[in-house]
Amino acid sequence: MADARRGASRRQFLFGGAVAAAGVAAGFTADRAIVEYTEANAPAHGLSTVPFHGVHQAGIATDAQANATLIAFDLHDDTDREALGRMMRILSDDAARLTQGQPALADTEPELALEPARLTVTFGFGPRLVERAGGTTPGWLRPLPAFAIDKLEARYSDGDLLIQVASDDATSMAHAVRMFVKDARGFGTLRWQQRGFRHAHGTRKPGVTMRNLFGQVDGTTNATPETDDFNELVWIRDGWLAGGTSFVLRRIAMDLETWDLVGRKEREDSVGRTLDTGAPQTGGGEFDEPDFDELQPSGHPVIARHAHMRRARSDDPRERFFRRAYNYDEAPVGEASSNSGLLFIALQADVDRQFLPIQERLAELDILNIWTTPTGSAVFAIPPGCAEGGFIGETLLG
Amino acid sequence: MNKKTFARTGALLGAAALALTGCASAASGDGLTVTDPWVRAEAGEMTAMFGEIVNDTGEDMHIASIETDVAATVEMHEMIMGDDGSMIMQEYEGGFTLPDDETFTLDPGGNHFMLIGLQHELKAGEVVTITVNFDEGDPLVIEATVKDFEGGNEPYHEDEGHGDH
Ligand code: HEM
Ligand SMILES: [Cu+2]
Repeated sequence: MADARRGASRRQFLFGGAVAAAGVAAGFTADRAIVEYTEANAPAHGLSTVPFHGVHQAGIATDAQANATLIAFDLHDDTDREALGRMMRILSDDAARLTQGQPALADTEPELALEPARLTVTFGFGPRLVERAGGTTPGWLRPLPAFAIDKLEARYSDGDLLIQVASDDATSMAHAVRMFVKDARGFGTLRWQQRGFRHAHGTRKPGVTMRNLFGQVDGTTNATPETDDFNELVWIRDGWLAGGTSFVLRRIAMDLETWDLVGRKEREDSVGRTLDTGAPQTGGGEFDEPDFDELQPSGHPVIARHAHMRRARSDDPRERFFRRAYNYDEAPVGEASSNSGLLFIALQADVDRQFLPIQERLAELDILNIWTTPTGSAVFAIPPGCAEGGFIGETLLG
Repeated sequence: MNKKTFARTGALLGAAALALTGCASAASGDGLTVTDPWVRAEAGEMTAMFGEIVNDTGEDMHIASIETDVAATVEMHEMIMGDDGSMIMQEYEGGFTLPDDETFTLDPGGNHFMLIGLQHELKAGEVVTITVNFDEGDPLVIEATVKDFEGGNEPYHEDEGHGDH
């Protein structure tokens, strides 16, 4: 009887001819590959993958991909601890598959999953999620205090669940985002979605510091992933977050209109670095140390007192964090003719001890504040990674 | 033969033949493996299980019955075109046979295991155990993940023509 169902006639009546592509939805198939890559037709970069399973979640120490979309959800009132466990199992399974170039379970666009291009998915928990789970909320897991420089909007701020989806390919990334939205909406409503980019893969050599939309080399002074210094700064040591970290998002508008009015020298003075190579104004190359004590003949310091780099650097080496920013550039609203900025992302073991003192210093004095305005702010706990068969959040929900 | 038909509303969404490489899920029974089994989340009366079953037993395997704790009955359904050109599903006469050395695909818009008379709401992220009994040999025990799914335009809702049960 089974034999009667093989072959084209069956496919034809399944699809009425309209979608009768060969091999589509055949009841019996021997060949299970959607697309088979050979050496001849394999893409240069699309098949590159970053492991999903591990001690830490991917997307933190991962060399930043060209694109990132951050989505945040507000949990439904009835999403309790038990539901959170189901949610994170489903979302972790989606992430485990999609990051490895495999369609998610029940993926309606499986072909879009085949070129992950270093896709990573990173989950973060807001204070309410941890509370619902009955877990211990770290002291730093709360909205940052309000700063005088802030003009925060709710549509860019806070949230109960964060999913950072990043890939060198925007199409693959959009598909993954869609899958997460579909699978999370039974548990929460989409609160916001924010999209960022860096230089496209291949535009520059890997490891070259990115530029932001002010034209600055941005990210020079940063811990190097996989070093002791990085591990010390970023990863949490104990409790359910051991192997995890904290994630601070600051959406910061950069006013390209008023920045236009600023000359090149003044632009360099605003940070204390040159625009061409990103080297300190006191000389050397990009990665040479600045000399904050060096004086001009006039007696003023070469690196200004209000320069961003001077203000962002504390005497206390523990007051440091890992920066992993993305540019954004969106349609101007109303009378404005630009709508650009940074999705400034800071990762550290302890927000209060490492990040907050620096943010306070910058809010107090930083010449860049003239042209920049924080419009969104959010803090999330990033749980550790999981092994195969496990799920993200199992140390809280398991 | 008690042949049940189910009206299908709207157009059929083409479900591509997924090539779920790797990611093997539950497997049991000698030479029978299931890849990516899942069940559509449902608060009402009925839903369906999808996935791919590979038969490496060396013989055609005929399914005698299917059972699960979460539903009163499980039927084997196929999709056919009704007289008015719309797709309808009906119980597959005599039960599915899994041909030797082939992959048998259960997918939205195609063959599926129909779970009828749900004992409780099936929520996304739950795992449902479904046992497939064959004429001969060990049963195949499938652990299927419940997922929210709007696609495939499946007429599984009560008000859409499950007349005779
Ligand atoms: C739109 C806003 C911002 C822009 C355009 C910007 C730009 C820059 C640039 C060009 C540098 C120098 C190159 C480098 O080391 O990366 C720098 C350094 C730095 N920035 Fe920012 N930044 C912004 C916001 C922030 C915020 C909100 C923080 C923290 C609260 C921050 C913390 C730092 C730190 C810690 C450094 C390294 C300082 C050092 O050399 O020790 N930045 N930033
Ligand atoms: Cu059915």
